Amino acid sequence: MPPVEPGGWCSSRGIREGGGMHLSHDVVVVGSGVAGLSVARRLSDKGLSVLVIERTGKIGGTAWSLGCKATFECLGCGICRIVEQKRELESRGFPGELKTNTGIAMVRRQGKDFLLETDTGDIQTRFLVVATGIEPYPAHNAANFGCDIYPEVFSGYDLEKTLNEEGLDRYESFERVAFIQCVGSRSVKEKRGYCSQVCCRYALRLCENLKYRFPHMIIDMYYMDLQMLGEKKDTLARIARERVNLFRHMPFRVEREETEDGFFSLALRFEDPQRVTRSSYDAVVLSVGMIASGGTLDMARKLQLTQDRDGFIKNLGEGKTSTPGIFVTGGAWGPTDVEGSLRDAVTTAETVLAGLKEDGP
Amino acid sequence: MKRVLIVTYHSIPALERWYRENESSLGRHIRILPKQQVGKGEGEWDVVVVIGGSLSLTREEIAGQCERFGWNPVCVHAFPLEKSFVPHSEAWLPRWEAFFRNILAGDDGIAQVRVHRLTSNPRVKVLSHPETKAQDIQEILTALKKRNLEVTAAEDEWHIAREGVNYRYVSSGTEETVGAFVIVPEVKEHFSLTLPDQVSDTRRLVPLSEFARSMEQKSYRRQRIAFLVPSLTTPPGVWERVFSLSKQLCEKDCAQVVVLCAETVVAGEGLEEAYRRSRQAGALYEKTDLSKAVFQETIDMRGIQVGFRTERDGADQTLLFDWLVAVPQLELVPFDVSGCFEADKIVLSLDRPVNSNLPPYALHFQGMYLISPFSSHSERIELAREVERYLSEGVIAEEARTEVDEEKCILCLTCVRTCPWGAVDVEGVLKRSKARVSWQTCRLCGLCASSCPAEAITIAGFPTGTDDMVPVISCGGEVS
Repeated sequence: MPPVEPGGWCSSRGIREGGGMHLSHDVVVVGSGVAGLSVARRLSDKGLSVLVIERTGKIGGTAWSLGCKATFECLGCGICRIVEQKRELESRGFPGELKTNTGIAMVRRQGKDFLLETDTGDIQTRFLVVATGIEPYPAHNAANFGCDIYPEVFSGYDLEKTLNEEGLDRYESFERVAFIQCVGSRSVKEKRGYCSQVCCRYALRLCENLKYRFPHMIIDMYYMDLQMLGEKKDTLARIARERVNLFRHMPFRVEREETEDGFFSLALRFEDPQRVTRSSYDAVVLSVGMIASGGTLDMARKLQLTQDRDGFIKNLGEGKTSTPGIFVTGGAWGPTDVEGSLRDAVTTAETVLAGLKEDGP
Repeated sequence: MKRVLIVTYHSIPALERWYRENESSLGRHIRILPKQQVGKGEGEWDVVVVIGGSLSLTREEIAGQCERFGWNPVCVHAFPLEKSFVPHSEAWLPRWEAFFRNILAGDDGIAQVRVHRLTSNPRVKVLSHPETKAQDIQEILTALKKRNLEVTAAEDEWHIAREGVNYRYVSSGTEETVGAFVIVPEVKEHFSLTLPDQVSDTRRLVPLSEFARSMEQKSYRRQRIAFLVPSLTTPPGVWERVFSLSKQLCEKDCAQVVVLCAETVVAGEGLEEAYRRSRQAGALYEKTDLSKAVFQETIDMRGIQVGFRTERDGADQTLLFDWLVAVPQLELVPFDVSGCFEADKIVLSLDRPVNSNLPPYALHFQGMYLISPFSSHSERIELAREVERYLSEGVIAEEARTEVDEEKCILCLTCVRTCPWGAVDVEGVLKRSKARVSWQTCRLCGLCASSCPAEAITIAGFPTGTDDMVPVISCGGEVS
């Protein structure tokens, strides 16, 4: 069991490396997000030799950078499951082996096995689990909303990260805040004709958290349809009813303009002449959706897996992909939340085990 | 090494035998002396334990002894041997050991509570409402059977009683010990909108399931149909049906379809796609507050006029429909357990509690799990895994915990008066109140247990009583 260093969760070891000999594993998990770690844990518990490959230097993926949104009550955001996972890593060590800063250059078939050519040497494996996950839609792509141009425009993911790292206190000075939903999802034109399933929920929880901390704040939410799903949907419905002002109307542009007293404020512009055409705010939060991560697209291309039209890897049921021996789990096959990816990881791990049993020793 | 003196009021052979057996594990310098042989000049004792009949063990008595023999009163502990004092029996020894080790642990600053593992009976019962679909139950049963669990479905009428970590399941035919229960509550379709009686009398308001069935036999060619979705939290599965039905109606039957809803749910695999297809086919989705809509039947009773204000532009609209389809919300009906738990008056409910610290699907009762009949395949697998984990790992039971049996407590407050540590309190309201022992402050002296007239207080894991020894925990499984 490799040592887990509390700082960056990195471990660099060369136990069997070097000498041109390539490593052989039962299962290689690509991506060390929530789902990847969970799959690795289940499989290594069953005595398989597992290797987790991470392209960056940090494990945890997107979900580990999110913050718990509880006020005086739990809002059911599921971040506690991540804390659980971190604790398990600390107490039981890393499941299997970990290679960080390792990108996969090419994958070849070698009989039944796969041969991965990575930056740090070749790896041979029986099965491959793709857990490359999702990433938040880069808000600066929606240039009309002015993220990264105006300092008062944030993406929802920014808020989440701040909440996780230092808390939301820096947003105290804002009095009028607008949330714009469905940024980067539900748009057929941009080839993302799907609902990310998480943004309504995290936006409402963030609203509740902001409102709880700063009762003076007025929060307006511009949205298409509210998606109340999963745990605590009644709480979410209550937040939507009582804490925020809802407008079923999508602005097409955010502009920054100087007010009379020399300050700046943000103005939302709408296409529809019959309704509100302009309203000004101190800050705008873009509730960004989830898109297939760069790693997911990259792996799908390198492994020649069937993708759906949104770029996610096609899941043919219980984690099977179009290629036998390659499995997919978590956000790599569709937008999901923490609970969903953990649950999916269990299913996929079972499929891998069943595949191993069929395959014979 | 700490020096411990045990002073006895009588000669207790069992104690000396216990001391000889455990001398090595205690790790102290211990002396056992009858009261008559204690004298001054024995040196400093770090801990003094006085064992004796409670009649002679009054506070004044101990204070007098402290003064006579030069003990520090803080270090003196008294172990009462009143009800349980049987010189040649060893039944009181476990309680004594817990008491003694607790004193030593307090000395070290580390509490030492011995734990053991109780494994439950491996049998699992699936309790379901008689109206739940047999197929769902069967699928949950297969998911559990795949885990090699011995699982059976319950009969319609049953009683449960708690039996240690297990449950005793009694039905008309059988009586068996069961380790875990999986509860499948009933799901009820609930349409939250109430329409005027005259509108319902037209028989043009059809529930969604009935409407879907009737589409096979009946043609809705060129009819005007409205789907009413009043609830914000209609599940995605129901919405999927609305999308596909409306698309089919528009394309095949050239019907005019309007979906009146508060929100459309598109969060789900392929739902956004289905929503788009349905709109492309010609279905109109109108967001409106249905509770403010006006329903009026036509004179010939063949149509219903619906007046509503659209959210989009705030304009009042009145549309004439031939059919109204009521799209229900699915609600889990709380499991009625009144009279199911035999002789157990504190079972509140078998609902899923709001407690994020519980394992998934678990209820407050150990070994009870709740799963919706509409759960997905992966959820059922996860449930089966959870049940298997519970049954294989078992329950960690701490030895030596003072517990109050709510059934027996008569609220006489004897324990509150007796406890030297102030650990007993009364909790609850009016007739439901009972004594509660704080496990933090309790020193396991056993005074409350021995003085309770109703014998409601027990120290878990240890035998209690004087004449006939009844074990407190009767666990069905093995104790490892």
